[in-house]
Amino acid sequence: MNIFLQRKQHDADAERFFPALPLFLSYLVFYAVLLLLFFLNILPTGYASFTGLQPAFLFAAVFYWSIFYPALLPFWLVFSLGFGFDLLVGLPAGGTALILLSAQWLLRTQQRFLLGQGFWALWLCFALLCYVALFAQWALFSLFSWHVMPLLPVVVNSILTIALFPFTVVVFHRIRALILNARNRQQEAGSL
Amino acid sequence: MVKKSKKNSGFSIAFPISLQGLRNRFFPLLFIFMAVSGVVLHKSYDAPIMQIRIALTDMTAPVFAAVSEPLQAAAGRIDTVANMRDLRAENMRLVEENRRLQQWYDTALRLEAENRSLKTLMNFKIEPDYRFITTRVVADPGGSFIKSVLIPAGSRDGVRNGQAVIGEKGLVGRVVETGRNASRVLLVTDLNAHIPVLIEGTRHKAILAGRNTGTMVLEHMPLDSRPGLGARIVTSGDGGMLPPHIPVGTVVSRSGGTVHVRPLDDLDKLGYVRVVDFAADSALKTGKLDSP
Repeated sequence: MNIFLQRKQHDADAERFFPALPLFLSYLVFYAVLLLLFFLNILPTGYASFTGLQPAFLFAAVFYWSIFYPALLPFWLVFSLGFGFDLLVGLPAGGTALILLSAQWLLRTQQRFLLGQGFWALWLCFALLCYVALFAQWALFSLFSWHVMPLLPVVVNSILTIALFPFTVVVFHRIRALILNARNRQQEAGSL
Repeated sequence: MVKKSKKNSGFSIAFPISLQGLRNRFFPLLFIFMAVSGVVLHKSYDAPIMQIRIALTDMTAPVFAAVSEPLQAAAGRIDTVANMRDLRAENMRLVEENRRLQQWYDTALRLEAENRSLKTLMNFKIEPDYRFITTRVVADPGGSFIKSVLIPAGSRDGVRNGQAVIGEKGLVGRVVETGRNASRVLLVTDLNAHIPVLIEGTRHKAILAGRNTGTMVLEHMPLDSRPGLGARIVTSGDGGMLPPHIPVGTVVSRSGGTVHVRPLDDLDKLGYVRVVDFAADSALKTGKLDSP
């Protein structure tokens, strides 16, 4: 038998015995990417001559998943990621969590409207919300340390995050398709 | 409002607001409240937050160390390829520099021997030698607001709070949080960094303060002090926290009485650093001087 047919048969057997396996694996990919984005904001980037630039990938993830698959990103998870990020970075504990949660709450209330928008409108919404969120973070930290922080890095990071949004959307779309596909297959297997 | 279900034989209670709706409204508010409480707690009483932070840093340091190594290696290769075209010029520059440094090395050896013999003659108290703990920067979590780095060396390696951390060329920061396996280093450019310094070649003391930008400013300088551009700033050792005479930076600009100093090392590209185990006089550290 052809090796490809053998593999296909093997996959079919695996699915018959573990119907939830593809869905489980797709969830695993989602959480692994989320964790990777979390760490990307903390790892040293200066080596590649991108000094001091840190795109807010976590914010992009919250934006996308709050609109397209809110159940995957519950409030407690966003809170944990934000709080953990603050603790590791040394920011006021809860500051990032507060901003991410507020954004998530707002996005969930506007989910129906945003789902009906095209990519360009979505990008514009992301740009607006990203500016508001990063400036809110800047204001919060300036207030916390009682000193006006330099604005330039905030502006540069906002622009970078907005510019990278299409790339992050492509990755998230792929993961979403993977999850939806796995879920449909599981439902089909259950209905048989 | 209680009503009997028509479909089921058992009782069911219909709430005016469904549990799902209540959860959707209540959960975000609960977590937002928790986040606000965290910020307020951090501002008013940060000891428990500090403990959690140290524990989390300790836990995640091995992950950072594992993930950052291949990333740094890959980025290093990119830099190498980018610098390839300047290889010949770089080689010639290094040969010339090596020749010059060899001369300086000979001079330094001669001066060291002369210095030692003079100190012996004067019965000068010899300063203790420093011990170095060499480690790698595994996380650069500062971003726009905090200038700090994580190193995978903690109390088990002999790292303590307050120790100086030096890069390839000079002082880069000070240890501010120490866990068992990892420590956080506050860089000299951070807003909270204030270092007692000397303007090299003079006896003028000042405080070098970070501004969360690429440069620092000299504060509390004597009025008659006018350091020229390029003047080197070194630690004064005042307070016994940092060893004296460690170079920190050079004066890069003066505007309206404000003197800007740039660190010697590129703090955005820190690779390996050394933690200085500075055994200052214990009496200086505690402030309890013995009566003669």
